[in-house]
Amino acid sequence: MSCEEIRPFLEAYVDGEIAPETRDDVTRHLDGCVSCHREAQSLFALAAEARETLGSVEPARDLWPGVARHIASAQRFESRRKAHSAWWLAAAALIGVAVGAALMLQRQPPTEAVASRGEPAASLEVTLASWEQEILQHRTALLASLDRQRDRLPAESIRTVEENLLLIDEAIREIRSALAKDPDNPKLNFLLASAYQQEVQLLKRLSNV
Amino acid sequence: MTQRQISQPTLVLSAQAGDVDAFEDLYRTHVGKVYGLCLRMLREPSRAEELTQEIFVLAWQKLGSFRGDSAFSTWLYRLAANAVLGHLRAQGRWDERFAALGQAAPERAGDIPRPDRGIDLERAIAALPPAARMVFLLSQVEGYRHREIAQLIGIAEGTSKAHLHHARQQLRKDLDR
Repeated sequence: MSCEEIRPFLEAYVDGEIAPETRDDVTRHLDGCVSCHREAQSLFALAAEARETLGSVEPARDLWPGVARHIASAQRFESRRKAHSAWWLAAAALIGVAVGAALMLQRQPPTEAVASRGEPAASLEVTLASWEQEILQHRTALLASLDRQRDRLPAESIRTVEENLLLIDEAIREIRSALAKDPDNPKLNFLLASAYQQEVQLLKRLSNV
Repeated sequence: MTQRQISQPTLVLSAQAGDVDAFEDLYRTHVGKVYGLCLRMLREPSRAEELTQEIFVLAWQKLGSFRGDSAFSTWLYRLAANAVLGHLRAQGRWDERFAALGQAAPERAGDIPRPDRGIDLERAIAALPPAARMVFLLSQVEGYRHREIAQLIGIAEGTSKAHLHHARQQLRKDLDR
């Protein structure tokens, strides 16, 4: 091969990114061509100098304390988030039992449901299904109202409410996920009812501001 | 600080389990390389220090996604290269069009210390356009293949070769070789 044919392959040759058959052709050419050999040597030398001089650089100051601070802060935030989530679910469980039971009694006394259908175990799910849609409609209307009043409400209040709504939505997702695995669990159904109720109450309070 | 004599995979596993001391050992082993990349790409020591810290915080947060398919150093360096690219993009110093074409992109006036003949390699590297500099560092210093560089910075393999070619030409010209 001539010098003109070899030169386009020299960089790939130096980088070790050349097909074996071409590599052998280039090696043979370099053995007999001073000019191409010098060119290849120059490329090798540049790569060697780069590896030697452009390696690690130690920062002028110790950066670890800053990294450690960020990590500690992130860990504190994460543990607070988990604690908050656990607290919320625990609270929701307690409130859920009370609110869910009260709502059920108000709308359909269990004794009547049992008496009318003769299926005591099914009453909770049936009741939940019957008013879940109603709560969702209520929630939608309140959200629309909140949106209309957005200009006159304090920004801080809106932000707080939105953060709380996100927390409740997250709880609803978690409860729904648990319900998908255990659909007959009455406690989870109470929790779901409670979460919706919490959301509605929150929106009601804001709409009365 | 004295580093413990524990193998790197063990340190990684410990760090993944939440051992901050193990992560500090990993930090001390690799900070020079990460900071070196940040400094050479950003050319501002204070910003390079900040970005180095951000990269290690990110590494801590993402440790769970490290599965050991590659060396920890490779995973970390990839994370660092992506962070550097993100920073340059945010600063408008990474021109996607020029990077994609394998051409030299102009930088802000005053940023570039144009080298005189015979200056050292470090300063000559600093004068390269960002994409060519990045490809040169990844290829010639870190030993990445063009295929890997192309994947890492989102360009075609041929473009990576073009950047390296331009970098070599410019460096040899500036270094008078």
